[in-house]
Amino acid sequence: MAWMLETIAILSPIIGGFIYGFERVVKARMQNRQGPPLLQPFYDFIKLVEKRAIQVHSFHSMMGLAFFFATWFTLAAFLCGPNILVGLFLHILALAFLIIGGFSVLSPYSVMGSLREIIHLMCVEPILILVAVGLFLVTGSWSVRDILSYSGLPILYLPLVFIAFVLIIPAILKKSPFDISEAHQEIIGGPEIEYSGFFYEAIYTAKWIEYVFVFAIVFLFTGVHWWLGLALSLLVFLFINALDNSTCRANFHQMIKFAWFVLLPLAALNIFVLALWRYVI
Amino acid sequence: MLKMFIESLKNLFSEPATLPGIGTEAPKGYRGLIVFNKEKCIFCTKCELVCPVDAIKFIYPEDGSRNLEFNYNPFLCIYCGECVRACPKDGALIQTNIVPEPGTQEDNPNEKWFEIERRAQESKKKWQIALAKKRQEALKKAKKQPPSDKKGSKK
Amino acid sequence: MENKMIVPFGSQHITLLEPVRFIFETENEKIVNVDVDVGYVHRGIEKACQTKLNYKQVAYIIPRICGLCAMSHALAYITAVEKILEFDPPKKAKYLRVLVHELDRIHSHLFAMAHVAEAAGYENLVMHLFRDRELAMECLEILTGNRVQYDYGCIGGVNRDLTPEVEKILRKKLKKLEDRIHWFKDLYMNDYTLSLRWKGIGVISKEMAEKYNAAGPVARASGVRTDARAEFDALPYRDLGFEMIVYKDGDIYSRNLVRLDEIFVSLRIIWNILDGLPEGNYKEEVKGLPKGESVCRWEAPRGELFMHVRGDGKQILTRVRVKTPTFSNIPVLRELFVGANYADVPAIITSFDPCMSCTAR
Repeated sequence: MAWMLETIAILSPIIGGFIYGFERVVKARMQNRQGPPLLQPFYDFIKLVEKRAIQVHSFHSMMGLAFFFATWFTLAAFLCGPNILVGLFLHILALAFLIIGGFSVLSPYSVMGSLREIIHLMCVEPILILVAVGLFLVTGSWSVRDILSYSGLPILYLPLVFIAFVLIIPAILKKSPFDISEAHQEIIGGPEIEYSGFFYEAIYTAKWIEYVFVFAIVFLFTGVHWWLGLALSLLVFLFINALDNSTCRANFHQMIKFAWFVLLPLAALNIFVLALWRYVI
Repeated sequence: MLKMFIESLKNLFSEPATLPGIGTEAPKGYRGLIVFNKEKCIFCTKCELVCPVDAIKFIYPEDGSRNLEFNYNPFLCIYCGECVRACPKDGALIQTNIVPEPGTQEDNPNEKWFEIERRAQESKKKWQIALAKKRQEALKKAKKQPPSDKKGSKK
Repeated sequence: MENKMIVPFGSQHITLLEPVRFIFETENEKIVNVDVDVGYVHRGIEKACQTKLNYKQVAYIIPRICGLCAMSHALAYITAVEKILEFDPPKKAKYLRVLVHELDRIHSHLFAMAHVAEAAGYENLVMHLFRDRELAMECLEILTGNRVQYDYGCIGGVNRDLTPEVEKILRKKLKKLEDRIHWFKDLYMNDYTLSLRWKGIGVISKEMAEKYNAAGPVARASGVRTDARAEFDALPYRDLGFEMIVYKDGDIYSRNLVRLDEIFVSLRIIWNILDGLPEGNYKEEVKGLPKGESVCRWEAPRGELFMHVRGDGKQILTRVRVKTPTFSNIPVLRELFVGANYADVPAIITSFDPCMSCTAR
């Protein structure tokens, strides 16, 4: 139990693979289809490693590998380190590797995808920072270990922040209605289109790690009651997938308007009221 | 949006509409492979004349008789059923409901069929020459025979 | 500094159903110039109809121009040749031709609507629409023998009859289909994200549609009252309850609604046929060789189809010429692109429902 966080951080690709495989089966059943087998992400891994990788130039491939390792390190720093804000800023660094890799090729789809990925960053990061600030105000500490041993329920003090976070999860995980940077009907994959073989596998695995990242943050909202955290994660998982299956893709103007003029004021209002109540009254 | 949300959650707990792995059978009236019965055929070659894509070719024998060899290309056929409708004998050509298999390299579909087409063309020319020769010989035989009964009756 | 980006929406793209090439010049994701190229699927069908095939065999090759509007091409050709030969098919044959034609229209419209939903990013709707399209395909398979290429019309009538067992199965499946289409109509009218994505996008005004001669559901969604089914009498549409559907807005949303309402009209026609099928032969012998010229105007699911046939008294025709509806819609498409966002391009193209195999025969 003592080394639990470190184990999760090291085994995160495998845990993320299981979550992603389960999600594909759930998504298929919601569409009244049969769905792939549960271990499909690992079969994809084996298949992609055997394929011949065609490289555009070595900088581009290096950025792909850097994205994977930076995401893994972000999760490790987030879970085991002393400060979650450092973890969030490292997340920006990892995405920056992907964006620079997308800009370094001459393909128009890759460049457009990287431009849209920057817009995703602009919408997601302010809300994540407000989540970290909110958790500090409630529990009094910045590190994950202390938040996970807080005996109250942070979610009762941060309801609006929780709602804002759940509604911005599709933009982190690239699902409808906010899957703009990988709109595969318009720009066929965005910044990851020019990767192939083993380097594409690196980017694919980095996405699994992002699942673990997001659900770890959901877990933090329930303090020491881990069984409640598990139930909450499952509910959020079902909600996100049902939302993915019942909306179409939004424009990037609509995404920015929704994130900055609806979600951000909601979260900020909650933090304001909480800070006033804690420190003034 | 709400309607589809509820429908997705309902679908999660009901049976999927797609079947795992194995497909379904073709229904009774499906237009599938053509099957030829040699005993009932009278070799009128109407099916070869009517086919839009020339998927039926007959190879003619050397001696001018009417014992033709039937050749059918299931990879060229469009399964329209015209040959079955044009056949005057009931049961010589039947359209079954067998779903045709795709051709692979081991079948060697192109080379085999080009060979058959070439043989059919050459054999038809030779057969027509042989048939013309046969008819000429039969005519000569009829002329050579003395008209015996006619002379007898005149007397 | 000029920041124009040239984006190829090339002949192979995930959204495109058919191979057509557009080259866009965009500035900040707004399009300023378009270059169009069709002709990737040319197979030389018209030349084959004039040299290798006699006039009876052409009726089986012409529907293979396109997979989705197969029955329209076949019936247009057969009607044109029957006009030259001055032959009137029996009444039962005409009703059966309308039956298969309307079933063809239903499955083509469902296919088009599913692809527009996919271009918007709504995958779940695609899966549901394709699952319900299977009901129409199974009906067609039991009736004609194949799901896509029916080989049903021939010069002189139709090839197969409607037996009572087949009629019972048809009624059951079509009843289920009708309930599902009501559910879809409710969804399309009340969905919030679809209206954000489709309302007011890709608007064609009535004057633009009339100036550039648009055809089919594209023109009818902009308010132009044109439908070849109301204007010819080779098939008895007026007795069977045909009604023209016209909407006024001209955006992608109205085009979807036009197709959905046309499915309702087709289902109503099919119920009328099944309830009142006349007695008689379904096929008659036609004598004579075609000598003369005729023109036939038909309504394919995508618009107006034009067939010109000329024969000289021999077995092989001298000229067969097809004008397809998608070819008439390309000038409007090009005019519509200039000034639109790049993110809306896939939705606009698929809402026009292009069928490139018809356009480049």
